[in-house]
Amino acid sequence: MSLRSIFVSGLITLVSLTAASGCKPFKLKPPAGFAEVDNHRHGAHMKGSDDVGLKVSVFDNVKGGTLAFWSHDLVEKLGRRGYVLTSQKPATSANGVHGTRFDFDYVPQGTDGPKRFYSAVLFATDRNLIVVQLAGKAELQGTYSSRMDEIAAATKTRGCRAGSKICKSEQPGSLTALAAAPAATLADGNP
Amino acid sequence: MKNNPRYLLLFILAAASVSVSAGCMKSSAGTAMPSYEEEGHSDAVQTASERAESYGDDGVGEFESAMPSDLAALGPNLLGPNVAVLAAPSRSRANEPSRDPVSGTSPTVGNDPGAEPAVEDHKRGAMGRQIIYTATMAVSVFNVQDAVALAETLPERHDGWIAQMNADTLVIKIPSKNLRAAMDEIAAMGVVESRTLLSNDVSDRYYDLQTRIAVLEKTHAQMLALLSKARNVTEALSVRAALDKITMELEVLKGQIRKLKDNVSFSTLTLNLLERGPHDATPSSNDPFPWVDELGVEATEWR
Repeated sequence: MSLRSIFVSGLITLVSLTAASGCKPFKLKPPAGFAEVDNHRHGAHMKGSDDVGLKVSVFDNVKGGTLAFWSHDLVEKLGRRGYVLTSQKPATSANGVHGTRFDFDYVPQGTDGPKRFYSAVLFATDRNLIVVQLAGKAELQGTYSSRMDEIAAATKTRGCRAGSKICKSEQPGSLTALAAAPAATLADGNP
Repeated sequence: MKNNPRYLLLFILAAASVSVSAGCMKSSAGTAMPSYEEEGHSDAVQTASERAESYGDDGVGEFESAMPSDLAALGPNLLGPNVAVLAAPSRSRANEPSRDPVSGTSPTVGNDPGAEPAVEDHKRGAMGRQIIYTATMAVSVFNVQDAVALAETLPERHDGWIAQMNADTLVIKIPSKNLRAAMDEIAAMGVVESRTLLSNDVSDRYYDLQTRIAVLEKTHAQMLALLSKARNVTEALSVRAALDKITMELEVLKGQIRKLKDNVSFSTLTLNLLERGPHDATPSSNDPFPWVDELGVEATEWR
């Protein structure tokens, strides 16, 4: 095998590896205490020993899809389903993309409980929306609240173009009022 | 002849008279319309009484056809003048207002005792239709066990009962007036995946049964009177045989109308509960961005 052929095959391998890794819009290793159940291009799902779930969901972004736009959409629609927004604060990914963290209380419809916590950190890039979510029983919220910041900070998000306005878009205004007045419930199937 | 103006004038006059007479015929036909309508009206009356006859193979029609044959079996000498008593009023009986055999109240067909059946039909609509409602719902919920427990309490709150039940399916009988409220309550348990409501209008069947029962009850009473007038054992046995046949038919019809009333009063609601798993999206209509449907506790928490 000549030196040239080794160089060519190495180059091909490097290019293909780069392309493969570049295709995936996020990177998050299972945090301590979580085991990865599922991982693919459009998301990953991990499970804690106490049944707390950690999930990354990836969606395609559209033109004009700023962080503020999607934050409003997220809070309003979850509000319709009975999610109560309790707090909202800025977050930053491992590679510096700005996001917003939303914490919700939730009681499954038609039941008296137990109450659940649901935290979602939303990142908007030019290509994707990346949502890092954590959910479990409400009594575990205290344990996982601080960990959610760590998990968001450990998540790498891809899809930002050079000089991107989306990735540098501003934080949404307070959406607590929006979530406090939920629209008609989805329960009747007629949102 | 063609060129003669006199003939031409005559021809025109003749044509005019023909057209006028045709017009007269037409107009006379027009003036005849009311009488035609009257005929139509009498037809309608006749149709109503014919309808009374045709209330069913085993209804008034049967009474009028079967009863005489039963009585004929007794022989003209045996029955004597009572045959006329039984047979003659049968047609007019069909026009009498029927009584509710179960409640004993009147009418399904209005309060006017002399009302014609055609009018009764009209009033029947005003009295309200007899409709059997059957509903099915599929609801996806966060926790099937909790939802089943909640659904089990539903009949208690709505004066109904559980007709059938398995792991995730319940068949509930609910008073028709509470069906809507019960369905709304179920819808609030989760996300409605499907919902159907079927209605079966059984008004005709219901009112037919009432009429037939009323007629048979009168016949029954008359047969009893006839039985008391029997002059010997043979006569008594013959009348008794006819009476038994009427009694049996009456009981069958009463059973049918009772079942019909139950079905109208209590709707059947079949509820199928599905567990909402991590991969089930919450349906949103007309939402260009349904991405949030895939988010939430249901999709994230590991159960």
